[in-house]
Amino acid sequence: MPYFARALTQQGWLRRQLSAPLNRLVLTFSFALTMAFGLIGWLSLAAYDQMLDGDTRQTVLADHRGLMDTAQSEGRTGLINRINARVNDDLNREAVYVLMDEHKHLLAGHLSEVPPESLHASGWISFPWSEDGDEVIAYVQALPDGTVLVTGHTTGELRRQRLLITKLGLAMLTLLGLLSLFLGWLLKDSIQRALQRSLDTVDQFVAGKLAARIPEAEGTDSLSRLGHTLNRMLDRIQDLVGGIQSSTDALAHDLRTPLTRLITRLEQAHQRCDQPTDPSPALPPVRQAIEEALEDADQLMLTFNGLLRLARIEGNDQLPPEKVPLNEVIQDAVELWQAVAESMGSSLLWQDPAQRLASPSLSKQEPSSHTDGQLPDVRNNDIWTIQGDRDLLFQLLSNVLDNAIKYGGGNGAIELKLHHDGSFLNFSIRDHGPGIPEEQLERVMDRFVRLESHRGSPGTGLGLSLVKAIAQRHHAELRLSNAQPGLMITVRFPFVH
Amino acid sequence: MRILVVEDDAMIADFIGRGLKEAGHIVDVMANGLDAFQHCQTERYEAIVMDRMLPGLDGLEVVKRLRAQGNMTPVLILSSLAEVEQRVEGLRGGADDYLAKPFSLVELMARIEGLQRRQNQQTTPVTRLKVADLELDLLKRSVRRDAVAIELQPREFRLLEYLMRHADQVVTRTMLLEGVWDYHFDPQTNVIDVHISRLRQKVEFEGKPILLHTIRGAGYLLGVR
Repeated sequence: MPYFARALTQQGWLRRQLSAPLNRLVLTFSFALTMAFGLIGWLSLAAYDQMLDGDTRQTVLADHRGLMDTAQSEGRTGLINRINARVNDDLNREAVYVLMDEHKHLLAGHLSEVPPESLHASGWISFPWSEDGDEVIAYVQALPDGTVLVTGHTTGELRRQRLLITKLGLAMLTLLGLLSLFLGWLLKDSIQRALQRSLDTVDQFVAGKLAARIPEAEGTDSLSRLGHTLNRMLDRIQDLVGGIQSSTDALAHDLRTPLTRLITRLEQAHQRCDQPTDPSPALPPVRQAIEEALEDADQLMLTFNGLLRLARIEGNDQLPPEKVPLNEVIQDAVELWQAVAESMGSSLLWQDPAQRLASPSLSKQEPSSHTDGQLPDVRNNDIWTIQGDRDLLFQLLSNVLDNAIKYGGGNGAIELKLHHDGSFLNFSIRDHGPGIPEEQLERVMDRFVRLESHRGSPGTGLGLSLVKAIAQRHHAELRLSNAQPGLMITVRFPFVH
Repeated sequence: MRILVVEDDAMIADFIGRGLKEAGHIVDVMANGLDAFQHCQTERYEAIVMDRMLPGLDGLEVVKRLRAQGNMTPVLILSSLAEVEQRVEGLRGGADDYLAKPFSLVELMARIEGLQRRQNQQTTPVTRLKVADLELDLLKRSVRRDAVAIELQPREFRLLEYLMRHADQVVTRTMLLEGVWDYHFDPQTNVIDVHISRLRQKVEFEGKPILLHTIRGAGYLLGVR
C-alpha cells in the first residue's frame, strides 16, 4: 500500500523510466522479439488451417463417392440402408448425412440439424453445427432420380485441436516475452554495473578526490577501453591541476622572496632616515618617497596575496571537511563589521535564526514563519551547520560586508538574512546603495573588474572574485541582483545532513 | 634571549639578525636545514625562527624531528608559504607560531616575545592585569581606570585583555584578528581600527596619559610611552 501510494505520488516516474535509453532498448528488443514470434505463430496457424480444410474436404469427397457408388449399384433403398447404418455407427459420429426426395422430405440422415434453404444448390457448402461454434463442411449433389445427397463432416475435433494449439502458442509467446524482458534486464544490469564503476569514480574525481581511478578490465571491447581511456583522461586532468598548484606555489615563493627583500630594503632605508647620523637637507623628501614606496609595495603585496589565495582556492575543489555553524560565523562577522558600518552612518540588521525562535515571546509574534511542517527544529544549531572552512567563510562574509558598507553604507541599513528551505541554507545581504547596472552584474565577479565609478577608491578588484571562489569551493551558488534600490547578494549553500 | 635564525636568503637573514641584535638578543644564523637540525643537538636556544623551503632539510621537517626528540624550544615559522592550509600544516607539525613573508620586523619581534611569554605564563595563571592605572580583573570581568569602573562589551573586554597581556609590545592587526576574533583571514580594510578607536573612547581619560598608541605601519601598542 505505501508502495502504491508512492508510485501514485511519483508521477512522471514511469516517464522517466521510459525515457532512459537502456530501458527503452530492453523494451524495444523484447517487444520486437515477441512480435516476430507472434507473427510466425499466426502464419503457421493459418497454414495449418488451410491444410486441415483440404484434409476434411478430401475425407468428405471420399465418403460421398462411396455413397454415390452405393446409390448406383444398390438403388435408393440400398443407399438409405447404408446411410442409416453409418448414422448409427458410433465410430462415425463426426460425419453428417442427409438424403431427401425432390419435395425435401427426409429419407435418411440428420435433416433436423441441416438448414433446408442451403440445400438447393450443388457443390460445397458449410453451415453451423453446434453452439460451440462447430461447423459442418458438406458436399451436396442431386441424384438422377431427383433425390439430393448431402455428405458432410463436422469440424469439432479440428477446432479443439486448433484451440489447444493456439493456447499453447499464446502461452509460449507470453513466456518468451517475459524471458526476453528478463534477459534484457540482466543485460542492462550488467552493462550498468560495468558503467557504474566508471561513473562513480568520475563523480568522486569531480568531487575533488583527484587520486580516484577506475579499475581497468582486461579485454579489447569498448567497455574495457572506456575505463582505460577515462583513466588516461583523469591522469591528464590531475597533472594539469597539479601543475597549476605547484606553479602557484613556485610563484608564491619566487615572487614573495624578492618582494620581501624589496620591503625589507625600504624599511631599512626608512630606519636609516630616523637615525640623524647624516643630517642632509634632502632627507625629509627622501623619507616621504620611501614611505610612499612602502605603501605601494604593501598594495602590490595585497593584490599578489589576493591572486595567490584565489588561485589556491580555485585549484582545490574538495569540500573542506569541517562542520561549521554558519549562523555563528555570520554572527561573528556582523560583530566585527558592525562598528565599521556605524562609523559610516549605517548599521547591520541581523538576527541569528537559531536565537530568534529560542525566545518564546518573539516566536509568538512571528507565528510559524520558519517552522513549516517539514523543517527540522530551527533552534537546533545542527540545521544551520554546513560542511566548510570557517576561515574561508569568514573571509567571504567579510568581503561582502566590506563591499556593502563601502558602496551602500551611506544609504541606510544593511540587511543580512539566513534561512533554511529544507535542502539549502540561503544567506543574503542587501544594501540600499546605488546597486550595479544589470549588464555588469556577472562581470563584477571576474578578477580585477571594478565599476567605473569606484576606480578612485582603494581596493584590489579581487573581493568579489574571492567571494565567488569561496562559494564554489563550498559548492554554493552565488547570485547578484538589484533589489532596487541596492545590491542583493545571495549565497545558497547545500545542506548535507 | 638566545635565538637561532634559519634562513637561506642571506639578505633577509641579515636583516632579521641585525634587528634582533639591536633589540638585545643573541642571534645565530644558519642557512641549511640539516645543519640547523644537527646544530640543535648540542646548542640550546630560547627561540627558533625557521624558514620552510630550505636546502638540506625542509624547515617543517626540522621542527618535526626536534619535537620527536622531545626538544620543546619555541619555534616560529617564517615562510612565503602563507596559505591558511600551509599555516595550519606548520602549526600541526609542531611550530608555535607562523608568520607569512613578507613580514614586518616589528611583528616578528612582537611574535617572538609572545612565544617567550607564552612559555613562562604556562606556570603562573594570571587573574589580574595592570598597565599604569588601568586594571583588568579576569575573574570579575571588570575594568577600572584610576578607580573608575569602565563598562565594556564582551569583545571589547577580550580586545583589551589581549592588548594588556601584550603590554608594551607592538601588536599587529593580524595578531588581533587571530587572538581576539579567532579567524585567520585578510581584511581588505582596516576593520580593526574602528574597534580600537571605540576602545580608546572608553579607556582614555582627559588629563591622563595616553595608553593605547597606534604604531604606523605595524599596529598598536598598549603602555606608557
